[in-house]
Parts: sequence; structure tokens; C-alpha cells
Amino acid sequence: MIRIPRPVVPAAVCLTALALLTACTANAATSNGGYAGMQMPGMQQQQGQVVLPMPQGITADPNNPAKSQLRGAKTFDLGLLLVDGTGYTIYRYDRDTPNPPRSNCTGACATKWVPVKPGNLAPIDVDQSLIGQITRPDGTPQQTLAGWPLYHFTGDEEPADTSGQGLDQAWYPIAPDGKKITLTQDEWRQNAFGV
Amino acid sequence: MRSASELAGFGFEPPSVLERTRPLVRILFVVALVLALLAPGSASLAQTTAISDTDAILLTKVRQAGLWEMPSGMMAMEKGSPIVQKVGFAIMMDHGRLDVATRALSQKLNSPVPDQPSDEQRGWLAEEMAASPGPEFDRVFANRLRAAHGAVFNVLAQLRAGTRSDDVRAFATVGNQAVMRHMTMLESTGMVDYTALPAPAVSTTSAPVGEPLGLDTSQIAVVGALFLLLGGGLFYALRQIKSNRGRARASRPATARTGGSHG
Repeated sequence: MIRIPRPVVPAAVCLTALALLTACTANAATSNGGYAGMQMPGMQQQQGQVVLPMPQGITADPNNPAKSQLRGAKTFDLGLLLVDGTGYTIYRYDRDTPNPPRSNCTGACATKWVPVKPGNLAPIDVDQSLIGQITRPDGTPQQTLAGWPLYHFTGDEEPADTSGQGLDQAWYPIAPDGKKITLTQDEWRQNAFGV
Repeated sequence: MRSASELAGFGFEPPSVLERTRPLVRILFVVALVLALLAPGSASLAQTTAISDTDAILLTKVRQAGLWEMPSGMMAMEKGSPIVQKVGFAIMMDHGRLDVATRALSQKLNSPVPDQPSDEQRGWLAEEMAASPGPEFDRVFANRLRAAHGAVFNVLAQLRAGTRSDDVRAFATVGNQAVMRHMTMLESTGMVDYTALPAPAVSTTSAPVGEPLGLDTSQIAVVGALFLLLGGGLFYALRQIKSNRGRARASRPATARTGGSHG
């Protein structure tokens, strides 16, 4: 029989408790859905698994033909919204005129609000008869809907992002019927669940 | 000029004193060890019960839902049947809107969110990529997304019901509506196998131990381990004091103890 030195016994008790404690706290930290201990930026990419690129904004992807395709989309909060074929929001400008169609956004304005070029892809869920085009002051063509010249906002970063809504109190997302969308997500929520 | 330690009122003891007080040092060491272990232990308990952590989990969940469902939606627009193409597009759009709200709230609450989908979600994306266009893709798409939405829906419901933050409550209201819509749209494809979804986990029996305090079993185990540790430390300390006294008497040689050291 091996004689165990006396101090070893309590030390063993302490170590066991310590091991138990670390095991338990480690478990507690990861049990919250598994994401609590997640690394933030720069997570390791696993080999053999591919992450697809997201649809890009007009600045990153200006020559994509789908950027000229008009599409009506129903969002969960704002209802019908006009977007391009990649899902990015299309805007109209209150200081433009629809009749006759004319753009008053030129120079620096037109680098921030990029005019939508006419394209070849057929519109989806948009009345074809509402779609037209104008020649801008600089000679380039621009698509219109119900007479309103159409734009992308360079500040939008996601499909259906409406970050340009209400800027200069003149820029609004446009609905497939040509009306401007002033409703915001917060207003929608308050209306949807209010008395 | 007096040294800092003299000014503070306690100088370094000479080694002989240290030698004499060795058991005391040992006891102090054990006490320090216990305290050091207690500190992170109690901190982790506080963390798991603090509401901000569950708020952060909601943001992470909704963010990561978008990070894999937007690419899924894009894929559906290319590989799905006509109804799945439409559903994929709508889901991509809604998650774009949710993601904008998520990132804004993440910044406002200073609670960072990941910028990559989880490994599990990446696996689902790989599955979708491997599926051939048409019915096979439709099935993978509808079932993987429907199951994932069900999980996020649960988290949204819990946070909507119990969060202490006005911002998170509003966010959960919005997210709840979006996810409800997505589940319904996915189901409208007719491809969802409901028997493959996890059964509802609604308690029909009495509350488990620790429920009134909001403790889960791992937290109870931590407390148990702490008691064990404290008990062990106390036992050790008492032993040290006792053996110190025994040695001080020095009447008994240490080798007097008998016991089979062989065998």
C-alpha cells in the first residue's frame, strides 16, 4: 500500500474542486446558444466551406447589368419598394420634376446619388408602361419611373437598405407606382401594434 | 531618506521570520487562491444573469441569420423553382433591412457583432451549393432556412418578452415580424418537412430547481464547486495550523508514524 502524505489529501480536494469549477464555468460560458465566446472580426474560415459574396452597392458594382433592372419588392415593414435586380433601393428626388421629366441633381449631387442607367434586363413586378428615360444635362441617359428620374444612394450597404431616406428632406425610396415612401421602420412598428 | 515601504508602515520581514511563519504563509496562499478563483467565478455568474448579455446574443443571432440567409436568397434566385426564387429574393431584402437595424443597434449599445456566419451556417451554405437546381435545391433551402428561422424566432420571443432595454424590445418586435413572415413564406413553398423540426420545448411540468433565481444547472454546479473549494481550503488551513503546533512541541519524531510503505 502506498502511504499518502497528509497534506496531499486536502490539496487533492482543492484541485478536484478547481478542475470542476473550471469545467463548469467553461460550460456556462458556451451554453448560451454557443455564440457567447465567438471571436469578432477575422474569424477563421474553414476549408471546404465557401461564404458567398453579398450583393454589393452601386459604388462597388457599378457595371452590373442587374443594377439597371427595376424590380418591385414587398418588404416586411415598408410594403412595396422599387429596387434593382440585386435588391438595392431606388430613390427619387423631390427637387426633380416628373412632367416634363427632368433631373436637378448634377455635379457633386450625382456622385452621391448615382443616376440609374437604362438596361436590357426586363423589369419584374413593375408596370412596364411607367418606365421611361431622359437625357441628363451631361448627355448621359437615365431611367425614369412615372416621370421621376431614378437614383441609387452610394450610402446604402445592403439589399433594401434605405439609409438615404429623408436626406435633405428631398430624397425618398420610390414605390413601384412612383409614389415616394416616407414611412420608416419605427413608424411602421408603432402603427402596426398601436391602438 | 526613508523607503516607500517604511513610509507605508510595513517593512520586508527577514527570511528567518518568513521561515517561522511558513505555515501561515501557506494558509494565506490558500486563502488567496480561493479568493482568486472566487472572483472570476462570481463575475461569470453576474455575466450570465445580466440582461445585456442576452441582448448581445439576440444581436449576434439576427446578424448571423442575415449573413447566411442573404447569400442563400441570392442562390435561391438562381437555383430555385419560381416560387423559391421569389421567396429567396424577399428573404434577402428583409434581412438586408434587419441587418441595417442590427448594425445600428450594435453600434448604439456598443455590443459588437460577428462578421461571419457560424461554422454550422457555412455548412448549410455548402449544402445549398452542392444541391442541384430545382426540387433538390428547393428542399434544402426551405428546410434549412425554416429550421434556422424557428431557432431565431425562439430567441426573439424570449428577448421580446423579457429584455430590460427599450431599444432591444423595439428591435425584437421588428425582428419577430420579419422572421414570422419568413417562416410563413418558406412554408408556402410546400417543401417544409414539419416532422424534421424540433418539437416545441414548452414545460408542462413544475419548474426545475433554480428556476425562481434564473439559474441553470451549470450555475448550480459552479456554486457547488465553490463550496467544495472553500471547504477544501479551510480543511487544508486547519491541518497546517495543527501540524505547525505539533512540530512546535517537537517531542515526537516524524518517523514515529508507522504504516506499510512497502507492498
